[in-house]
Amino acid sequence: MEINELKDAWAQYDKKLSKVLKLNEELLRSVNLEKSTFALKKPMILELLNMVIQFCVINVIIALLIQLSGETQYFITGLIGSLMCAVSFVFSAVKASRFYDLLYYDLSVMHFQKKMTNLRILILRLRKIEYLIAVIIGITLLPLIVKAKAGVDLFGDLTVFIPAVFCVVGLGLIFGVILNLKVYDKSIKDAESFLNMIEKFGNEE
Amino acid sequence: MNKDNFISVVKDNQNLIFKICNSYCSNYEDRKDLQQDILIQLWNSFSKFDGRVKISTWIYRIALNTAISFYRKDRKRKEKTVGIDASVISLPDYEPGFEQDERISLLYKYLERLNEMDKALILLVLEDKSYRDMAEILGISETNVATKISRIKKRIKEEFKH
Repeated sequence: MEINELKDAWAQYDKKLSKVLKLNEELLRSVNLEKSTFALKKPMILELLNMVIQFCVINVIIALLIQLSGETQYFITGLIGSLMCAVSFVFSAVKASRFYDLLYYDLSVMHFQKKMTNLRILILRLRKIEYLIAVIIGITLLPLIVKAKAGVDLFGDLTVFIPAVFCVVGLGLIFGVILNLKVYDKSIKDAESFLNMIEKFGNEE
Repeated sequence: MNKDNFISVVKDNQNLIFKICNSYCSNYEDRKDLQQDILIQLWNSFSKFDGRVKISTWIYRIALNTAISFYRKDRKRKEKTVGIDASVISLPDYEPGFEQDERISLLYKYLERLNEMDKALILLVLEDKSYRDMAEILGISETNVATKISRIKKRIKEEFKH
């Protein structure tokens, strides 16, 4: 069969569709499209929310550091914790701005899909780092919070604290490796192969 | 844009939306979700339409971009963007007199096997779009469109020879 025959069949099909296809206007009118638009922006909103949370955590750390001023070990852990939160804040800001730039209407299919896939790869790569950051934030903030709220000095008995840190880091690493292999690496590979396919599609002359 | 204008634009382009949804999703539930996503993206984008491109080019871009992104999402996803269960644009499957051409069924089956970008290109070919329109919608050069179409012609001839 030649392409023109298929085009004719497709045109006839289109005519038939015009006769039988029904648009449920009532349903479309009743749908709150503004609310639905909001739902589509959820990934960006979640990143903005994460920025607010990170900002609050940084402020809490600063308040705790002021409370525990003069104790070097707490100053160092607090500093590391707040730096990690700041990094996480920047990551979220980058993702939110890239989501904001993603316009469905303004780009051709190939350019939009490239942009979208690059964003997906970026998010997955950042997630791998964010996971590590979350573990570090947890470890650095725990002694600070315990000291400030319960008055217990976790650095006082390093024979308990250091093995506990090793356990947390060890478990975190095992879980992280599994997560990377099973989820992130697989998804990154999939996204990269799609990106290659798009690029090949665009470069053929 | 008010809802009446929006509904009128959707009505004028419902065939296009329906065919794109059918080409990217073989499952009824997914098709329904994709249709909703396309409608929301259209609603979201229409106030920004500035006339730089033809309205049909604009709709094709949004619909195809949404369809490809939807297709690439985790298929296990069940979360809906809109809480409606019915299909907005629907074909009464058992409408008397509506018999789908066997060639169309074969064509949909063929489209199912293609990658997302080739599928978009073939849909535009079937819609009899000009090379220029196809290049504008897809974001490739007209020469590239021409090369691809000549390959498609051969592939289709081979695929539908029986």
